[in-house]
Amino acid sequence: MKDLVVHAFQQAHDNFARMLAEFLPRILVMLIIILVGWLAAYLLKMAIRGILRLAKVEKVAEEAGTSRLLRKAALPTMTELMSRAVFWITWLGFIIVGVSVLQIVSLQQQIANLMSLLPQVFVAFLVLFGGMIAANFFSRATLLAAVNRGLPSPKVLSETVRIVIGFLALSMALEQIGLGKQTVEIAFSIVFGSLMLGLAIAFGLGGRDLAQKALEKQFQRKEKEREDDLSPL
Amino acid sequence: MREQGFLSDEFLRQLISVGNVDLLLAITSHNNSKTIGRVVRAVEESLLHNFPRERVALLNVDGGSRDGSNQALLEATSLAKADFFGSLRTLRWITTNAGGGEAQENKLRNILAAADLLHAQACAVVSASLENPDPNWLVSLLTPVYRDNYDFLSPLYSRHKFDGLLTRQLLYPFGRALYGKAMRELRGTEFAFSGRLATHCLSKEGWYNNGSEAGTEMWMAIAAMSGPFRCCQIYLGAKSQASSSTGVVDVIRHAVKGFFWCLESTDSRWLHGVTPEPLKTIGPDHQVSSGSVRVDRKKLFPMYQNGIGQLSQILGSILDPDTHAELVRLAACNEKEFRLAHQLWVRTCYEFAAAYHHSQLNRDHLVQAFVPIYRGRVYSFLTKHRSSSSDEMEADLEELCQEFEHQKVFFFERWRTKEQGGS
Repeated sequence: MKDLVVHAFQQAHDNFARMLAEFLPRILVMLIIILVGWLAAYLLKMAIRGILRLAKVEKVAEEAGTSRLLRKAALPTMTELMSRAVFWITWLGFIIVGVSVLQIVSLQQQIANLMSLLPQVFVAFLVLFGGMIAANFFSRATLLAAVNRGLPSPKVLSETVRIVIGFLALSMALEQIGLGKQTVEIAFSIVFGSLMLGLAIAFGLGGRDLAQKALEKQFQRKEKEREDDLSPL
Repeated sequence: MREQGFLSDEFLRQLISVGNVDLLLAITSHNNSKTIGRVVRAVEESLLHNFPRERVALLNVDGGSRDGSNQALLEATSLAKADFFGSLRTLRWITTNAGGGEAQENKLRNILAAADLLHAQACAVVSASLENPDPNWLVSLLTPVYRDNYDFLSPLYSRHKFDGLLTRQLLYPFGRALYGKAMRELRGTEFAFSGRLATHCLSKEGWYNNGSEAGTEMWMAIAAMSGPFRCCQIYLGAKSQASSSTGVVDVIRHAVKGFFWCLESTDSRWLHGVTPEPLKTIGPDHQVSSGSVRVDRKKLFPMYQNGIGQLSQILGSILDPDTHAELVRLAACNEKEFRLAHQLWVRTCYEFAAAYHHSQLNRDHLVQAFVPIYRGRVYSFLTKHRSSSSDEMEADLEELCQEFEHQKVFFFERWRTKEQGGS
C-alpha cells in the first residue's frame, strides 16, 4: 500500500516535472514573442506618430470637425488615437501568436474565433467613426444654412440630420459584425420610412400651398429674390 | 512664354492668326444677350477714336451662355463694322468659350494667356453686364497702363451710400492695413493690367482653383499690391450693372473665403509689416449718392441675434472668449441701443481670418458662421449712418481703417500662433 502511494506520487511528480520541462520553454518563447511584439509595436507607434505629424493629419481632422468630436468625448488627438490603435493591433497580433505557442487546443479555438471576427470589428469601428464625422459635418452644415437663411428651428433640423446619419452608420456597423442583422435593417427601414412618410404627409397636407409655390418656383425658374436692392460688393 | 495647355486649339489658332498687339480688350460674358451689344459698340467706338494707330485685339470670353449672347455679339460686331467702314481700321475679334458660367477663374486665365501670347502691353477687362457702358471708361482704363506704365489699374465707382458694404467695411480696410495701399475696389469688374503683370500672374500656380472663390479680380488686385508692381485707381463714375441674383450668404462665402485665401497665399509679403504708401488716384477717390433704395434693415438685427444664439458653439471655437462674450452681450441688447463698434468688428474680422488660416473649422463652415456677424455690422452701420453726409461717412471709414491698422499687431501674432476659442 505504502509503495503504491509512493509510486503514485513519484509518477505524479515525474509527470509534473515532464510537463514543466515541456511547458516552461513554451512560456518562455511566448513571453519573448510578447516582449518582442511590444518593442515592435512601440517602434511602429512612434513611426506612425511621426508620419502622421508630418502629413499634418491634425489639421485635416481639425478642419473636418473630428478633433472637436474627439475632444468632446475626452479622447486623445487624431494622431495619438491612430498611433495607439496601430500599437495595440500590432501587439495584440504578437500576443495571439505567442499564446498559440502554448498549444492549448481550446484556447487556440477561441483565438481562431477572435481572429476571424477582428477584421469585421475593425471595419465596423471604421464605419462608425466615418459615420460620426459625416454626421457632425452635415449637421453643422445644416445648422449654418438654416440659420443664415432664417429657417425656423435650425437646431432641430441640424440634430435630425445628425441622428439620421448616426443611426445609419450604427446600423451599418452592427450589420458588419453580424449583430441583429435583420433587426437593425427592419428598424432602420421603419424609422426612415416613417420619417419620410411623416414629412411627405406634413408637406402635402399641412403645406399644400407652400408645396405648390415651391414647385412653381422650381419649374418656372423664377429669379431668386435678394434681401434688398444693395449689393454687399 | 509658357505652354498654355488649357487653351482650346481653336482659341490658339485665333490668337496665332492675330500676332502681336499693343492693346487687348477683353469682354467677359455669361448670359448677357441684352447688354453685350451695347458694350461691344461702346468698346469699338472707344478704340477706333482713341487708339487709332495701336494694334488692338478684342477678346470675348464667354462662360457658356445659353441665351444667345454669342449671336448678340456677332450682330453687334457686324453692325460696328458697317458703322466704321470708313475708318480703314480692322478690329480683330477673338471669341472663346471658357465655360464655368459666371465664375471668373477660367475667363481670367484665358485672358491672361491671350495677353501673354499676344505680347499685349496693356489689357483691359470689361464686363458684358454693364447696362450703360461709357466709351470713355475704356480710355480711362487703358491709358494709365499703356502710356504711364502702371501695372494694375483698379476702378472706383460712384455708389449709393449703403452699397458695397462688404467692400467698404471689410475688404478695403483689411487690405489697406496689410498691403499698405488704399485700393478701394478689390473686386471691380472693370480693370486693366500690363503684360508684365499678366505673365507674372500666369506663372503662379493654383490660384485658378483655390483663389477662384475670391473672384479672380480680387486675386489679381492683391497679386499686384503684394508684388513689385505699380498700381493706381481711377474714378469711372456711376456703375449701372444688370442685377445679379446672388444672395448675401453666397457673396460672403465667395468673397470672404477668397479674400482669406488671398491673404494666406501672400502672407510672406505682409506678415512682417508693410509701410503704407500712397496710391495714385485719378479723379475723386470716393463719391457716394443717397437716393432711395430698398433696404430690409428690420430683418438684419433678429438675424444677428438668432445667429449668435444658434451658432454659439461654432463661434466659441473660432473667436476669443472675450470677443465671443461681447458679441453675445450685444445680441441681448435692445434694437435701438445695438452698436457693433469698430474695435469689436475689427477684432472679429481678424480672429476669423486667423481661424481660417489655422483651419480651426471646415473653411466653408467658418465663413458661413461669419454671416450673422456681418448682418449685425450692416444693421449697426445703417442705423448709425441713416442721415450721415458723404464726408461724415468718409471720416468714419477712415476711423475704421485706423482701427484695422491699430490692431494689426494682434492679428500678426494670432496668425503666427494657433489659439483656440475658449468655449
